[in-house]
Amino acid sequence: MWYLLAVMVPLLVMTADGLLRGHQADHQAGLWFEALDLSSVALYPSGTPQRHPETLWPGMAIRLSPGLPQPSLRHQKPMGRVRVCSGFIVGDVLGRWQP
Amino acid sequence: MKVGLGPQAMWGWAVRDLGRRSHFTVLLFLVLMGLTLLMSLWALLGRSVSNATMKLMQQAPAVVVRRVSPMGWMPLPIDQAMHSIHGVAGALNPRTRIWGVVASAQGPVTVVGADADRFEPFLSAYPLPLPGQALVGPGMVRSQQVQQVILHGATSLVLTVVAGLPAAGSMATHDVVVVHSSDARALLGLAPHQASDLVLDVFHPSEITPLGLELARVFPWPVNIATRTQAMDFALSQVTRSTGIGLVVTVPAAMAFVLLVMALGAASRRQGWEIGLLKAMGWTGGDLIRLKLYQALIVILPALSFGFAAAYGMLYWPGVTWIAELFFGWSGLAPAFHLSVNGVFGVFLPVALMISVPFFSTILWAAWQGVRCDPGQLIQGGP
Repeated sequence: MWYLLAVMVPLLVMTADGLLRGHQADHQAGLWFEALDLSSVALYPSGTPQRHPETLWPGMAIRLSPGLPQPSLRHQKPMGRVRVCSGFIVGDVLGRWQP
Repeated sequence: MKVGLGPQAMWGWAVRDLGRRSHFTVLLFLVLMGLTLLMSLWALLGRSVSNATMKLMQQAPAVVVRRVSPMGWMPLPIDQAMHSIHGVAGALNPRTRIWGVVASAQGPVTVVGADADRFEPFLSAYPLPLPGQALVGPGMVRSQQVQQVILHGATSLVLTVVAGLPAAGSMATHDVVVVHSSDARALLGLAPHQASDLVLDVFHPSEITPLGLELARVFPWPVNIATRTQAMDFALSQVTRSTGIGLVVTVPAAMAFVLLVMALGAASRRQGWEIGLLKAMGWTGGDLIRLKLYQALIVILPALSFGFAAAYGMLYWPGVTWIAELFFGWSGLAPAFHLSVNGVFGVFLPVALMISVPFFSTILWAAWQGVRCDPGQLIQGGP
């Protein structure tokens, strides 16, 4: 009996917690996210490109750098006008480049 | 003569037999619990953080338009931007935002110029900051005595803290400072007619991509258009990359589990004389297999249960900070995560199977091997 109780109590506690509280845990964060019109979640510290991806340079690195990450290539699908500036193509070609 | 023990007597025998090797039993329980904890944590971590991120970002603006030049971001002239966007079909609720990153004693923080309309639901509990005032996120408040915050941007401002944002909203506001729009402009070097960017909503998410292409044509200056879909993809990839390091933990855990299973098999073979003895006393093969099954159940059920509970508590306890500290690069006061419980038991089930199937297979296979042997040979094998 005690054995079964010991096995079942953690499972029952988890189930009760999930039913009572679990699905609303991030409700408060959602309200503030909307009220402040934010674009990104505070997973990463402010000032990092992970926190503010929209501030990443919207260019495509044309220099070869094997083995190094190229966030602009992997994560950006910028749309805008084409500008060339010291080795970077800035902006997009109105949807013609879609990696 | 067949002895034939009843279930209750068999349970008792199994418990006493485990009690004879109490150290080994406790160690086995701890190892199985630790494995359950590690594998559940790894399976749930990325999933829970990704779910929370997606849920919050569903409320982000559908499209963000930033003015850019070859030198990077540029302030957006509000009137010109609103005039350009006027008449673009599908662009709902266009509005400008004033926000940016500035320095503080706690490191870089995100400054947001409060918009009275959007802030309205909180006005009863939190005052809209006046010039010289600030609402600060939980990461800025190390003690209740914080009364001022000094921010350094295009200019330096000393702001009076009128309230701290709630810790439960930490995933949105941890290092955010909400100030009056005039203070935000001063910090970010914006003129009164300028904003940081322009955002808008859409009626249906499928409109976001075509609208982004349309928007690229209507502004008189080069713009960078970031859609919510892109931002979500980016956030998901970052979360996956950051939490994927947890996989490293499961590799030694899996190796430990393989070694444990092998050790269990070897231990069962060494104890073959006990099976021989019981057979000589009249135990049937079924009795012996039941005994081993009960012993395995006595150890593994609480190990799984407590392992799951420990993983659940570590992940879903309100305000856990270890996730941000370990995986998301926070060096100071890390944000307290409040993660929603979604599909937890769907993760626990495969983990339970991954651990229990090899465990039971080893125990029962070793027992079956013993059952098939002659009792005399087993006893002669000796302890």
